[in-house]
Amino acid sequence: MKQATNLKSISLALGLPDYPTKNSPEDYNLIRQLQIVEFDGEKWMPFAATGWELAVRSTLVGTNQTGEYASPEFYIGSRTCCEPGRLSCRSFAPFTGKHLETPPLKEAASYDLPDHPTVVSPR
Amino acid sequence: MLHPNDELGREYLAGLRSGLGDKADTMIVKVASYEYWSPTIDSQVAQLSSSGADLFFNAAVTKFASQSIRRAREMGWNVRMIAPSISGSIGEVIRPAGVQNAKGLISALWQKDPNDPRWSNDKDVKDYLKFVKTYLPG
Repeated sequence: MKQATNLKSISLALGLPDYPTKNSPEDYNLIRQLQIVEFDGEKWMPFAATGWELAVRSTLVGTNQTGEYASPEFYIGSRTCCEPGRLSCRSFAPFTGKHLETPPLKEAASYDLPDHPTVVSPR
Repeated sequence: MLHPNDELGREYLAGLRSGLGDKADTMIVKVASYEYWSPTIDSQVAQLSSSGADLFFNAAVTKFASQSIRRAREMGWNVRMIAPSISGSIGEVIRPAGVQNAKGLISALWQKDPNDPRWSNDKDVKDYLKFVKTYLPG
């Protein structure tokens, strides 16, 4: 259990290349990022927002300590910095609820899951 | 938004509301849910298409994901659609829905879909398919 809950940067054969993986005894969830993709009629391709000031980042909160399935949580973002052909979608600005303006690229830092994600309860 | 009326589906709605914050009430114009024993979800898709929404967050799963993607396009509702990663399987969801109907669908993935032509020359995917063929025939 100690080894299984202290994984970091392990490579998954069927995971997307160079994807960040990390878990801890407090947070078993290993998958730390999802790639935003668009179906082009044949295959999934990295999402490039064209005219859409909207990007959705879906982050799996995953399994909590008691083993219950917790919430997949959606963040609506103001901009995606993906380019076609890029394999990662790291630059992302969370939607603040105030504006949908595009922040300068430098400020759109990578947005990773917090180490202890809040589980959203159903309403 | 469309979701199954179970804990998973309600969690998607809660997550969406949480992400939208104060604007959730004004930005989400219509929510429809279905029971997993329903034969079809045509009426839910019809309700949603008449809501005037310009974005369809489709959290329907498995056959309902396929049905709703297909039905929306059959009704001529050319809305931008977002599906969670659970509906991302090309073999299970997209092809039954019709690839033309799913064109422009947005989702999020962490894995290589073995059915996705994007990975058809990938060594790991090839190894996986070989393993399946050898040890899980049929």
